[in-house]
Amino acid sequence: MKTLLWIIFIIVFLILGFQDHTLIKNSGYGIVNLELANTDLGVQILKEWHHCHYGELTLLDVALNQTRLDFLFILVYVLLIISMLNWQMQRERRIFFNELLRFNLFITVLAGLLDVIENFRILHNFQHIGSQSEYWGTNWLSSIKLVLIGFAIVVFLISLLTMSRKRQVKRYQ
Amino acid sequence: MTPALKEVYIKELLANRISLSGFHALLAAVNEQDLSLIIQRIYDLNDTQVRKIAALGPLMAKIDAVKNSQRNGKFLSKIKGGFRTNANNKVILVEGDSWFNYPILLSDVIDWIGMEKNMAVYSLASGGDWLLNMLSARRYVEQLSTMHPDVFIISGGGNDLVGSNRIAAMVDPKGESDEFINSPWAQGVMRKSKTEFDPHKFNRGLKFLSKDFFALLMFFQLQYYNLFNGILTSGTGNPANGKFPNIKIITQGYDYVIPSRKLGFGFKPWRWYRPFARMFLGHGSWLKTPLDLRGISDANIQEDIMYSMIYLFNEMMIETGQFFKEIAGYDCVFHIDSRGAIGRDGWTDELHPLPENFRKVGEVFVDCINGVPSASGLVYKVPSSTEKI
Repeated sequence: MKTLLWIIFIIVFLILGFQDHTLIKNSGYGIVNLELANTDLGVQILKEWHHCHYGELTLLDVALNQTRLDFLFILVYVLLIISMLNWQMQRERRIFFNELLRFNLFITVLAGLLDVIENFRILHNFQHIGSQSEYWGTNWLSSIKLVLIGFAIVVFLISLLTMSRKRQVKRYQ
Repeated sequence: MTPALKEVYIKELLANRISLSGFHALLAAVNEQDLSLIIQRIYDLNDTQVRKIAALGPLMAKIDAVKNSQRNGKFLSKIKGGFRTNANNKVILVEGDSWFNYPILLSDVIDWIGMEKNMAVYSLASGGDWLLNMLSARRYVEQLSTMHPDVFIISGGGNDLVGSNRIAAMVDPKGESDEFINSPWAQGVMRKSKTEFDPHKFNRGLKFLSKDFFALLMFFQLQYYNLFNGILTSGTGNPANGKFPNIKIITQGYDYVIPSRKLGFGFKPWRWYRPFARMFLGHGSWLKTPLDLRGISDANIQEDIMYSMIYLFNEMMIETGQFFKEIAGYDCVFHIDSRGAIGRDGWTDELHPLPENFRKVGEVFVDCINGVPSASGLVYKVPSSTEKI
């Protein structure tokens, strides 16, 4: 299960990375720039993508495809993080970290939900190019989401690394 | 024993009037067909209906299987690394219910045992599983014969008692029951009891226990006896015929559960799973609602009923272990006694402790597996909670 999730995660991540590379190469902005942009910058990025052609498509079409694929990515990364947290919970004997890993199950689902809302707001913005009044900001959502995911990953890594270190110290004593 | 005599004993058991000698004779003579017949009569259902209410939901079974698959993967990697070449290492086979497999949300007893370096745990446990299913599916038989574990751990009976509102059928709402006093079997169990208890709570709870509860407890003892007899003596009653010499069997009997519908919101955000589990995973429906259904709505009486039920369940398990000490001639069936260990505020929901309390129980299992001597012989007591029930 975990292996399958890792494989899907890597494949989707590579596709998203390729799409993002296309956006950055042709406009100087990637999807993360849009997610974290304020209204002025967000409207400007969308205009730029709308007017910039990429083969028969515009960069906005590329961003649209990327956002659609991101829904799958959200599902995969949420499941993957939950699965990794669960795996570590079955190894973490320190009750503080064990509880913190469990707390991160909630944090991860919350981050995934925020990411879904963010994607819907981005899709809305794709329909209203150039209009400041119709632009729905996503920067605050993205910031919270990134902090939550970062927290979950940092706790996981601290738990994993300090646990292995503790074991190694024991082994050499 | 003649079939006619067996039938008489079974009728007496169902009426909770079987003599001790009759029950002991039945212990040695009962077979799977008899057990099936007894449970049908206790539940007033036919065999198909019994199997249907006891069956695990397909989604639950899948989620349980994921956790077991993770555990068993870890087990195999330990085994492949030469685990069995060290005599101090223990191979453990586990069968049981949600105290042994609570998927994703909680670290259950077996999760904590599985973290021990010298223990490799192979798990067949499923949250929500009935003892009835475990013993009829007999999945442990194949694993016992192939892996020859050092330890076999089993937890079962909780869901047979509280699943599908069954507990509603185990109580007498008038509170005038004299089934305990009139049950030679229960009196026999209590005579041997060495565990301290609150007589006020216990006696008040007893007044609400119906004959079906005592019949079910005796049925549990027949089932466990049958299971252990199969493992230790190949069903012959003679340990020389046993296929698993020196195997250690460990049982457990839960703690005094508290019927409740409270959602458990509090100021500890890391305990988010408590209100989550209580809102979505059956809290209140196992104990509180079935007792309300029978018109027993006083929270103190509900607690006392569960207190007496859990007390007697544990004593029944301890007595079963004692039987096999006499049969096998050595300490082979141990019991982990968690009564009073969880406390009033130590629960995730009606039936399941918080992870830290699962750990507390797990640590006592670890002591038992490692052969740390117990002050109470075959019984390993989990340290009591500071909060009294």
